[in-house]
Amino acid sequence: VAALALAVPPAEPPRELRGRVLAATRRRAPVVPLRRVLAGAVALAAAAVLALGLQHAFDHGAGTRTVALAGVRGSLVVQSDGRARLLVHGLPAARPGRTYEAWIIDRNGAIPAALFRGGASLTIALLFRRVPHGARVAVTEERAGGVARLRGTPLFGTAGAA
Amino acid sequence: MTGAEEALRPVVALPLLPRPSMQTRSNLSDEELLGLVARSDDEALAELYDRYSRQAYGLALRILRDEALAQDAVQEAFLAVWRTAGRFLADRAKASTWILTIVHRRAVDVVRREERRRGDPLDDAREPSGEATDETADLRERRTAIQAVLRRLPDEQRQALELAYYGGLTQAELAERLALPLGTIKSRMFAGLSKLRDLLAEAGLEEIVRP
Repeated sequence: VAALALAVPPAEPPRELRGRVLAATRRRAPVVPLRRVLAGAVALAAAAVLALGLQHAFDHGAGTRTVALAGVRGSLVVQSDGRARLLVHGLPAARPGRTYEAWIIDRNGAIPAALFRGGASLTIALLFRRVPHGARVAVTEERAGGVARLRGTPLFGTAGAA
Repeated sequence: MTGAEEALRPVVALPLLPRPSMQTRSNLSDEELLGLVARSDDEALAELYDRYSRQAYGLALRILRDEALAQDAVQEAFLAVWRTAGRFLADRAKASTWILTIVHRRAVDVVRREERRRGDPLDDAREPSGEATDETADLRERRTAIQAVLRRLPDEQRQALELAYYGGLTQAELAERLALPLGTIKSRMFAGLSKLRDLLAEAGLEEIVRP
């Protein structure tokens, strides 16, 4: 009865769903040839060096605020324009088939802001939404690909408002 | 996006094989795009998403009646397309049917997982109301033809098929829901499917497939 799928009128999905789908696929390449893995590893190492070099400038820009995380060792660094990233030390890798999902929580509710896997000595997760003043950021573990609505209890988050 | 942010983004390895340009992709058939997806071409997946996300979301909304759950189902379905595109057999189905079958399966999985809607009335399913300005003429024509085919089915057969498909109900659940003997449901489903196949073939539309 597959034809019944086409009998339903179409509906416009939210624009951000496209980004979520494509971001998830980039983390879950079906089969990656070894040569490509090696090329990626070299590029990753180069990017890590560059990232560390740029981190200092990022952390010390005018108007940047830093909020400690509760539950883990790390912080949320928010630039004056709201762009932010989570820095977490020693975060274990998410379990197979699962992912960490960051949420920005304010009086209007919780919205998804990043998916990441952890497992590095220092996990750096860029949030794809800006963090407004007074909001909190929390992290849950969700099924791979993330979910649209916060339902579970956060594993950790900002100790105070950002 | 600043240089710092760009540098901190996860590194995605560059492909070793030349890839078609975005413009070329928009000219490719669905089946050719699936072939590229099987080679980990995420821009080909993006093109398929642009072509079928509205139909996929409409279907998921019809089944789940919840926007957040429908988004989850569509996301899971396109990830499944990404992972399993290599298994698509172009001689068994159109790519669009294959994709929408995956969407249906994911949405039904979510229905069962959420255990919602079981007590809802059967006939108040909210139709998706989205505008379909960007859908292809092919999709529009196929929908019109399939809706016409469904209208030619006897009411009780169409009801059984639609409840099973959009409600994700098994025959036993359907029998309980309609307060009818299981045998009656089975015979309605069998007759309905048989008639539907005949009418689809008569209209030049494709047959049932499984991904």
